[in-house]
Amino acid sequence: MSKEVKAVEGEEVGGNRLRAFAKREIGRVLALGSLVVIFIFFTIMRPVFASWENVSGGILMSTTVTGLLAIGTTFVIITGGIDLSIGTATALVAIIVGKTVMALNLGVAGGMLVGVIVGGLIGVVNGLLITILKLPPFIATLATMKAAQGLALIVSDLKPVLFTTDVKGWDSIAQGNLIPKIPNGVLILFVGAVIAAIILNKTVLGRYTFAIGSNEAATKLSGVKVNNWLVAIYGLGGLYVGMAAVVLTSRLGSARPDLGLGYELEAIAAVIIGGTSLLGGKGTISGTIIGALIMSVLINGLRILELQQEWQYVVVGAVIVLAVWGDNVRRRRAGEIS
Amino acid sequence: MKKVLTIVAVASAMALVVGTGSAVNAADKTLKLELVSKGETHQFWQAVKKGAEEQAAKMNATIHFQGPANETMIDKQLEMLDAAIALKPDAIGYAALGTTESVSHLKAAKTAGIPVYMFDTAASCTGGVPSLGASSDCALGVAYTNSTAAGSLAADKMAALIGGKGKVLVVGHSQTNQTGIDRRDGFVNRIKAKYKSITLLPVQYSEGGDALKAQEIVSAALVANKDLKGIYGTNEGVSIGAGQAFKAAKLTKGKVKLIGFDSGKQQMANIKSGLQSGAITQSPMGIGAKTVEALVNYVRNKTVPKNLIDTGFYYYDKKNIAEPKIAGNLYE
Repeated sequence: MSKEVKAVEGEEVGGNRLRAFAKREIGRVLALGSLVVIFIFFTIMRPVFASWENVSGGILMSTTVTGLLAIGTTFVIITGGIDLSIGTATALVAIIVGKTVMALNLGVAGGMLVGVIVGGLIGVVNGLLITILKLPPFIATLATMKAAQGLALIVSDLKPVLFTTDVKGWDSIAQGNLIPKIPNGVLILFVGAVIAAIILNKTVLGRYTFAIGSNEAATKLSGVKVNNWLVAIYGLGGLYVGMAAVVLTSRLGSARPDLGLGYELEAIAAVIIGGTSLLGGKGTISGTIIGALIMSVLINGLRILELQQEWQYVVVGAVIVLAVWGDNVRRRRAGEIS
Repeated sequence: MKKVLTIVAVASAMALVVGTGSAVNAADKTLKLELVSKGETHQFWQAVKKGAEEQAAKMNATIHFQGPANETMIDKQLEMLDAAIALKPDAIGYAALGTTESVSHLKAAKTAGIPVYMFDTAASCTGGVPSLGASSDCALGVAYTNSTAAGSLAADKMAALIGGKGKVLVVGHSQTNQTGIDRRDGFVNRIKAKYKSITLLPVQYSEGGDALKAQEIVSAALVANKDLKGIYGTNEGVSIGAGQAFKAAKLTKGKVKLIGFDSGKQQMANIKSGLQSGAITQSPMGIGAKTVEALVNYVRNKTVPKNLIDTGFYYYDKKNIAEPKIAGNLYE
């Protein structure tokens, strides 16, 4: 153990700027490396895995919903919070979007707007439960998760809402190609990630997200209205839930009340695999995207290999453990955590 | 509660007194049946009701059909059952929500001399695990859908569609739910026993019938197996997901055959457009009709019904989707 620590220190002594960069970014570099290794493994096992048809229609498309949810929830996790409601909230938003779009004959833009607004409101409710009622985020969002699940069933009257052909272009939100060969859903994920990265790194909201996660008490003492910012951060997470719901309905051509449960855990796993700390204070959007991609590459690859489903679950579980454990070991060596 | 018990007791006493008298003219009098269902507003139960009403009209009987607002309201349903017993109808049909909770109530009906036949789901009258056959104590039997046989029918239809050979993928909606297991095994076992030239890929599951996961599973299967001939989905969500995967992959309609389960607006649209080959539907109307038939025959002719009545199921496709016997069982 001590030998390895020395080796790392030795590297640092002789390091140049490139090395310093690599060291600072080593978490993401390693995550990206794992992604590449997994990708190559599946490609060797079944070359068809690397076909563009599978990469775009299979892997990237499968990342759209979880990816958007994960981006939004990265902010929440960086504050040291958690949002368990994003899965069932996706179903509730989807149903509300479906009902309003079909009833009012809203177009694509109107439907997206409704989705983002309703999603944002659910996020704000979470934020208010946490800041005004002082509920722990785990409990507050667990309550919202249950309530959203129930409301989705009630509002839908247990029936899926079909987006009929009267609504022009709804299926092209996710499946169209503004850029040839790239499904629009993937484009939305990319743009959503870029916007999130800018907010996280270049705005006051982003700075306070990190500050609250590193030390909420100190942030409060320095005069920051932590409660207001928290509501804004959960609201921002909700906007991404809204977008995820819109993409989901477009992929399915309908909104179904029985979806969404469990999506929150996939999103949280993606965030953590991407190197964001559950304890708060640390995290990146690019890491989250890499984490989400690792999950979908893995699941898609196992399906392409036609591994028995029971074993697929086991492998996914093992990879989550490996990824997070590996990251912990590295950080401990680097002295980031004790 | 006391009041209900009193009513039940009075009703039982009356049954003893008038029991023989009513049998005399049972042949020509209009029989009154109480049907206590799991629900009333859902389209599935509406179809059960319709089937029961039609059968009752044919057999000179009337039915009163009721059920709670949703399928978690066991208490509410048991109140309805008690009230039905208190009315002292000629017979009762009952779809068990509380498979164990309802047993004492059903015994009260037996004491009162009211024959009970169950539909859709049986109560566990022997006090043990809910089981379809265990009905001797408190009911004459149960009318239900034989999901295994329905799965086998899907297998026969799939074999016919793909010419008896090629690769087929089964996407299940649950590894633990009994209906899911029966629909899967009925299909798989039939293929293995009868269609040796069909290769079954490992069964994949979209837990809970998550349509999005089903879409992803089928997308991957289409990439991994360029020669895939058919897909069988065990519920509505899976069928929808598979259809969407076909759309996303821009498959020529009918290139890969898809047989699903149940109905719903989107699945029916997919079948009409040719994206999906067909689906199996249960026969909720048959459930209603067979229950009424069993009860009326028992009361009027003392014909003891079979302990288990399979109420049937249908395969439907673009051609027969509009036929009355099919259309009545489909819901949006």
